[in-house]
Amino acid sequence: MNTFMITKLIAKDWHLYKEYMLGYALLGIISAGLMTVQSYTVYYLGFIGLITVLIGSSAHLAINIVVTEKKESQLSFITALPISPLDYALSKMLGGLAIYLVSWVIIIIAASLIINFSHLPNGMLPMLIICALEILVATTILLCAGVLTGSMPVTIVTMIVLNLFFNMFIFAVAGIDTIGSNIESATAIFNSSVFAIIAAELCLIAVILGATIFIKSRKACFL
Amino acid sequence: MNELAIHLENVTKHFNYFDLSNINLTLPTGQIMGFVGANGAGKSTTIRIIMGLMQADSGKTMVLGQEMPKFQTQIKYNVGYSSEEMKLYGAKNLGWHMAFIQSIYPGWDANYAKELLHRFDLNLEQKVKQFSKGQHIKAQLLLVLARKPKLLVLDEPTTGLDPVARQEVNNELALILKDEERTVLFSSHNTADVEKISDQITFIDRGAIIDSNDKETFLENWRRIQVELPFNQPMVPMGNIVQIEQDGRLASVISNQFCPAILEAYQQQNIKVLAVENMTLEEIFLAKVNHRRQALNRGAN
Repeated sequence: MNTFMITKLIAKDWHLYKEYMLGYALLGIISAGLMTVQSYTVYYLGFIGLITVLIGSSAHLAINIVVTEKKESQLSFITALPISPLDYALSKMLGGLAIYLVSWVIIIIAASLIINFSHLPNGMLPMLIICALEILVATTILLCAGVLTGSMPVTIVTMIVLNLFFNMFIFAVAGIDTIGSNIESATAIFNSSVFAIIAAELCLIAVILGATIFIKSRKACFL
Repeated sequence: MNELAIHLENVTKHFNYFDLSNINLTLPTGQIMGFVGANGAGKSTTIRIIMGLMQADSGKTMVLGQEMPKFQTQIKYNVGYSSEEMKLYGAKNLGWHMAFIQSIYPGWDANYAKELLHRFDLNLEQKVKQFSKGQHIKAQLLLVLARKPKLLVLDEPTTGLDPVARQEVNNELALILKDEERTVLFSSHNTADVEKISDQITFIDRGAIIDSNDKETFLENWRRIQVELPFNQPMVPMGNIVQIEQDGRLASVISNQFCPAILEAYQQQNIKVLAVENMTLEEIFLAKVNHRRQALNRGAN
C-alpha cells in the first residue's frame, strides 16, 4: 500500500471537487435555515432541499470521482502513476468519503445548531442524525459500486435503488415507536433504539468498505 | 547498455474475439523501438500488459528488471507513459497538472519543464479543455518527459492528429529523443512516424509479433526488384522472396534478404533486371503483413 500516493490522489480529488462540495454545504445550510421559517410550505421546501442537497452531492461526487474519470479517460493518466489497483480503490473510497464528509459534516452541524436554537423541536435531532447516516451509507455503497464496476449504468441504477430505499427507510424509522413518538418532543431523546440504528449504520459502512477492499486487493491489474 | 528495459517472454492474452499469442519482445536499455501494427493488431494490449494495466494469461513480463504487474508501483516511478486515449483534467490548467506530477516524482526537472513549455508553445494558465488535440498531446509529453523517466512508453501518441499537428509533435519528439539517451517504446500504425525516430522496429499483426530488427537492417535487407522475363510464364520464386506481382513478362519481386547473388541468379535464367529499388518502412510492413496473412490462409485451407 502506497500511502504517499493515496494521499496525493485524495488531495488531487479534493482540488477538483472542493468548490462543488463547499457549494453544496452552503445550499444545505440555506435549506436548513428555511426550515425555521414559520410557514409549513417553506419548512417543507427547506426539508426537501436539505435531503436533496445531501443525496445530490453524494451522487455528484460518487459518479464524477470514479465513473466519469474512467469514461473521460483520465483514469489512464492516473493508472500510469506509481500506484496499484488497491491504492487507486482506497483513494477513491476513503478519499471520496472524506471529501463528501466535508459538506456532510458542515450541513449536519449547521442543521443541528439551527434545530437547537430555533423553535423547531429538538426531538428531530436523533432522526436527523439517523437519516444523515443512512445517506452516508448510501454514499459508501455508491462509491464502492463505482470502484468495483466502473460502470455508469450500474452506478446510476444503484443510486436510484438507494434513493427509493431512503424513502422507505424514513417511514420505517419514523414508525418505530421509541423514535417516531419523540420527534416532536422538546428535548432530543437518544435512547437505545437510536443508538442501535446509528451503530448498525456505522457497522454497515465498515463492512461495505472492508468487502470492497478485500475484492480489490485480489486484483493485480487495473483492467 | 546490455540490460533489458522490457522483456516479454511467451506472453499470451485471450479475449473472445482476439488473442495475443506468444509475444516475445526485448527492448535493450538506450534503444528507441517503433512498435508497428495495424489497428487492432495488439499494440495497445501489449503495452497495457507492459504497463501493468492488464494481466497476461501466461508468460513473463519484466520491465526495468522487475516483474510486472507484481512490482508495478516501484516500476512506474521510472516509466513515463502517454497514450492517445489518455486525457488530462479539462477543468484544470497545465500548471496544476505540472504541480501535481512534480509533487510525485522527485526527478522532476523544473528547468527542462520550462524549456519544453517554450518548445511546445504551451500556456501554463490555459485550461486543458481549451487545448487542441495537438496541444493536449504535447502537454502529456511534457508531463512525462520533464520527470526524466528511464523508460518512455508512447502508445500511438500522434493518432488522430491533423498532418500539421502530427508533424509538429513528431519533429519535437525526434529532437527531444536525440537530446538524451532514453529507452523508448513507441507504438503507431503510422510507419512514417516510427521510421523517423526509431532504432529498432517490431511489427505486430493479428496478435503475433511477425518481425523485429534494427531499422537499418530492415531497410538494407528489403528490396523491390523490377524484372522482365524471357517468356510470358508465371515467375518461379527463388531465394528469400516474399511477394511477386506479375503482369505479362514484367514482374515486381520483393525480397526480404536481398543480396547481389539474387541478381546474378536472374541473369543466369535470362531474366532482365530493370531496377532494384529501396523500400520504405511502410512498404516493408505491408509486404510482411500480406506475406504472413497469405501463409496463414494457405495453412488454413
